[in-house]
Amino acid sequence: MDDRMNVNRRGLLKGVGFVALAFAIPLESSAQAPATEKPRLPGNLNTTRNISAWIRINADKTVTLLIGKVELGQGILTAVAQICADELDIDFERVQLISGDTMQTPNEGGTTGSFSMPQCGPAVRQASAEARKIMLDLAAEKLGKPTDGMTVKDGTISAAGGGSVTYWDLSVGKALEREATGQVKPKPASEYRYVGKSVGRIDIPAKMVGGAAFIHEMRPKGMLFGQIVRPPTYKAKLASVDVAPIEKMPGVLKVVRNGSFLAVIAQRDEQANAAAKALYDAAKWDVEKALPGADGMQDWLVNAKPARKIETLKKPRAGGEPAVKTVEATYYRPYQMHASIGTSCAIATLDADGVTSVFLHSQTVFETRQAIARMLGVDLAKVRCQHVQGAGCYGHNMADDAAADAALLAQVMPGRPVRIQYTREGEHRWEPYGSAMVLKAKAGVDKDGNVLDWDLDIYSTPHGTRPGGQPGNFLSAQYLEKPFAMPTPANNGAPNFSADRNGIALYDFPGQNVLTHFITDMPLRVSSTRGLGAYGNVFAIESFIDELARAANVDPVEYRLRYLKDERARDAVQKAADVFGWSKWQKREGRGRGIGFARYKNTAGYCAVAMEVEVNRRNGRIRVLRAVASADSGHIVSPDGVINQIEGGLIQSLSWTLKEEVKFDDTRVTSDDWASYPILTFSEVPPIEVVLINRPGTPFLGTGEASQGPTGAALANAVHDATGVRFRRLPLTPDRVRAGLSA
Amino acid sequence: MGRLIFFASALTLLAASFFAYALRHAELPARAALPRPVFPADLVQRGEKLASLGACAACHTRPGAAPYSGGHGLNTPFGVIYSTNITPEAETGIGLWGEDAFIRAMREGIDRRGGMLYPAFPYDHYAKVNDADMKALYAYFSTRQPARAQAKTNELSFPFNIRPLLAAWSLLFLESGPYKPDPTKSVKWNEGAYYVEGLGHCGACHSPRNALGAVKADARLAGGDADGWHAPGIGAHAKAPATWTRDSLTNYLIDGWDENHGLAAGPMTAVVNHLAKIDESMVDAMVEYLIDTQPKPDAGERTKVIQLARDREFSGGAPAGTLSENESRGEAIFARACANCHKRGGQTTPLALGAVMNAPHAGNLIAIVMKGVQPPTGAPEKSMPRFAQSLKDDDIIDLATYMRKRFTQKPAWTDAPQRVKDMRAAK
Amino acid sequence: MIAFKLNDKNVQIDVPATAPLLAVLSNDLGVNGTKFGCGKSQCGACAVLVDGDPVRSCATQISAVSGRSVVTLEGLTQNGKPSKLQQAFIDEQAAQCGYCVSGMIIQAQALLDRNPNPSDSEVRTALNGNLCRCGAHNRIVRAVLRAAKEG
Repeated sequence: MDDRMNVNRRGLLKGVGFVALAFAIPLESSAQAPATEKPRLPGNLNTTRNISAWIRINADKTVTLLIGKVELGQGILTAVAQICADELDIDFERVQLISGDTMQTPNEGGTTGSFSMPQCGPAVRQASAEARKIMLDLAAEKLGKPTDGMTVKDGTISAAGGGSVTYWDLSVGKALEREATGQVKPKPASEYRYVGKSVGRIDIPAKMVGGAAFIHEMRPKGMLFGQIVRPPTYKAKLASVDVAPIEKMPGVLKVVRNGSFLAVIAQRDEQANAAAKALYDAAKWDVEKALPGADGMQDWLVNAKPARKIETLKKPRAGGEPAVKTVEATYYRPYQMHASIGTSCAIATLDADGVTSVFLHSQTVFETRQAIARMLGVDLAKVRCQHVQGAGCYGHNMADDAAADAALLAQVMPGRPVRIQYTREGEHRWEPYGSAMVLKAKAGVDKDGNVLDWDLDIYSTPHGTRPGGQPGNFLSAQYLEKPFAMPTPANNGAPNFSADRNGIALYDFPGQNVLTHFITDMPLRVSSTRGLGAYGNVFAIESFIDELARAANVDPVEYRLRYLKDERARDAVQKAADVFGWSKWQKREGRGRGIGFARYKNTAGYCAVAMEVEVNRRNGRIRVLRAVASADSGHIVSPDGVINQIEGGLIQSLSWTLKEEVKFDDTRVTSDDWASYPILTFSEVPPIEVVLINRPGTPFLGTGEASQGPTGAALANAVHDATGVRFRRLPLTPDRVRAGLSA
Repeated sequence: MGRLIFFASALTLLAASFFAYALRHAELPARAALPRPVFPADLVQRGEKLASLGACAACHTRPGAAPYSGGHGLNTPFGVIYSTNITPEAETGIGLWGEDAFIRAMREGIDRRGGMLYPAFPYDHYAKVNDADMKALYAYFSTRQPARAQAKTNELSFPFNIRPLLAAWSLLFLESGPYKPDPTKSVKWNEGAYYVEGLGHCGACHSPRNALGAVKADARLAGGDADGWHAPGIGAHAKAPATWTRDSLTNYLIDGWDENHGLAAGPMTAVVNHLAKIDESMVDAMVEYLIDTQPKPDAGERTKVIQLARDREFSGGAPAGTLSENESRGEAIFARACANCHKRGGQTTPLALGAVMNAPHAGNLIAIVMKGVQPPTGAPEKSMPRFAQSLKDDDIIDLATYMRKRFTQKPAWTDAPQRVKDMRAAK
Repeated sequence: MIAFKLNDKNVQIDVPATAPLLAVLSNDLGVNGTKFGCGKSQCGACAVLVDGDPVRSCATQISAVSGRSVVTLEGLTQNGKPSKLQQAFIDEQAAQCGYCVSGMIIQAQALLDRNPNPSDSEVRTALNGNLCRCGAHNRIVRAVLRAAKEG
């Protein structure tokens, strides 16, 4: 039924008629750091240095590009295909992609942190440029002409003074099987045909007509349906369960009980769901009541004992006048969900050769493979992970859990593909959320309200519990008879950080300190959620600077520019303000404007967001009337791709900021579906204008997480402008706004 | 019996029409089509607000068609009546109407040429609108974009397709004269009463009508029917389970939703979408009037009712043994199709508090279940999908029976099967 | 045995009468477009047309469509080509991940069948019951308006 599934592992290798047939790429070692004497190569080419690991030139007049990064709806496949087509001088349509397959593609680590373009883009560019050079050398040999003066058009190489040959006619053999040298210079930006233009995304047409696009629609022959039965609470223990009646239910093939891990496998999807429900009802659990509750979370964070206090930045002011005034404010960001529209899904098969093949939509196929192998207690070679697209994930959702669960269930059904797709409740209640955070800001100012000393204290539980090769990070592995303990999560250091991502304000204050109270107790399960700590930190920093500007009676744009020394940062702020019409904006009753800015991770894309809101005092509803975002992502490969990411991030952030908070009581999460965890609807989405600042020839900067932080702050600042009331606790729900306005 | 009343009424109408014949109406002079008159901006602006207050577009604009170009079909007990083009287009609209013709139509239900208009156009209410507001409305409609759209022919049964009979209808039922303020009440109260009784024409739906389709004079605002929906009693006849408060009624009228009253669905959606566009002070005035005239309850009672409704809705199924076989089926359907959203933490209004479950007939519930809810602009997250094709006729009927029993103490509905049938036929 | 019309072809299938339409379409009849999102009629990813009405297939038992006509995203294509509406979604690049889009297109088709010339706010109101997490809303609205304009 599904062509992709008819290709078995070996079949994949012989099925494609590529010319560079030999396939002895040492993928396992490719992830290792290169020997020190070798030249540093661009992006991930530095770790996977063989050109043939990235590019194959096929006899069927196509080029296969192999990348370790995966498509999440961010358009990465299209963007790197644009780069490849340009550097190789072939038509865009000839580029075919294989991505995120542990058996075929370079190990590029995770597709995370807005790193895809910075890490994969330069690698593809360099590898393609070098491949082109190799083809020219082959042509020179064949035509007996010098490479100087050769031109290439859509794979046809023409020598100066006549004579031509195509890539497809050249016997490539093992010619691409060599390390990149770093000596070939990629083209200047002015010579690009595709880079810099909005090429239609290659994955979109199929998605619009019901073509094969997502893992969710894969139906390999003989597939069975698994469903997991989670405990009622995080730490509940299975006391007893009578599985006999469940085993007799229609279609049920297996009831799996392993410690407190319960699952069913059935012939049909609805049979698996019905059996899982019955199994849940039949199970008796020892339940704990240990959660602080959503309303108690802010106090809990401030009072919890941190595992570490991290001096993210310690740059106190050296001498000078004492501050005339100290201003303080505390901000709160609640737990938020990834809340993918499609629940997580995976399909695993234990083949006769003992290899477990897993189709998954994880962002970290390589590390997840390792964690699965360890969980199953098998060699790494006995697990293969292949990425297939899923619904947008926005970080570490349950994609990896689904892969692990499918792999577990596949072990009891050898030879049969076992599919997992969670229920909505299963996803909402069990996914790892974006951590709640408390941000305490303090500033000492001079008599004119200028910042002298700036302090930010960040209170947060972890932001990263990705598998990272550790089975203890899989939800189910923690409930097994022989459980895998969850490793204590770390907080990344500079320059990316985790809880303290974007904790350092980009403003050039005379003194700045950032202290991170890193709490490794986790009342709720948490992990990387789009932007990690950046959303909370930028919300706090950009709200606080707005408060200081207003206290100083200075326009918030002007006040920011006083402290921004980075020209590109200044441009981003100014551009957003100009296009918004900041300086000629007229105040109207009930309306306000606000601005927010950040450079994501202080190293990636720059983004400023300006918006206008209307606040209804009667019902507390905030209506966002319009928003303008400026974006500087360095050299832009796909303008529409950048716009889509910035706009999408802005809308998602509006949803977080206006509506979203994971609710829980002392026992369990109660936000278990879209009714109890509402997100933004069409009528609430304002007109949005994205203004691009292109920097041709400069490095690609990540874009996917640039707009969330600035958006949240711009909204809160606009609400303050409209009402005179400062809201520091998210989300800004009508109830909260109404209460704040009548206080 | 119904037929007898009907013929008796028709006879009355016929008799009255003889008298009416003597009062035939003159054609008023056409205004020059061009140049179109110019009006002061503030007059047009006032007219725009009034047009929203009256929700003129709700009937005079068909979805997707040019604003105010008419053609929207209104289902009445007498057949389908199509709204007319009220853009200033000369041939098919009101482009040739002078102000006098416009005001006469609004107050007396007579078009420019002297023909009678059907009282689906609620001129019995508009008669109360004062001259200043009439002029503002005329200014507004005269400055709209002209659209060419021929009026559709009404689909009415005999004898209602005989227009001259309408003169008699007016003679019998039209109370003329503008709104008379009550000097014992505040200015705001009077402003509100003027809107409710006049241009707002709330009574057009919220009042019972006699066999000839006229509002029963002694039961104004006591609740009525429109387009198969029950419009509950309001003002003096309000009987919502949770008594309306100023805040809750304001929320309802502007946002189309209040947590203790639910959603403005059916024909009311368009009304609140229009009210959301006018000055809040105009709605405040209506609220002042409606709240002041409603029966005064015991304040503690309201809290108790709301608490009870929440407890009952969110505390699982009905007590064992209290449901019939069909009601049990209904309960299972409710659990499968409804309880995913109508649950604690689901941000819905307890069903026991809304007008739908408390209506005298099943029309509202059946319509919502089958057609779903496209929410008012003020409450965009309150969508509900259509279940017309997801549920079979029996499913819907059992569901309605169960819900009525579970969420109210009112007598069972008997009309659910017919309503489902009608809804399927109307598709 | 349940018989109905799927994308203009007669189908007959022997599955449990209470099986959700969505499961039967996806697992038994090879339909790709229709997606599971919540199983609770809350998100709209599973929308299909039944006799022209937009329906949440996750909450519809297969027996309810007996004798009816079901159209999925695949069924909107014309001679293997994207329909006007689908093409407008492609032209506007109206997706990020694209998982919700199938339901969006079905819901929008139902709107356009009823109102071929909707306003921006009418499109939004009609789609309010369909959830998008990536923030492709404005693109989706533009695509529907574009399809309407191109008739």
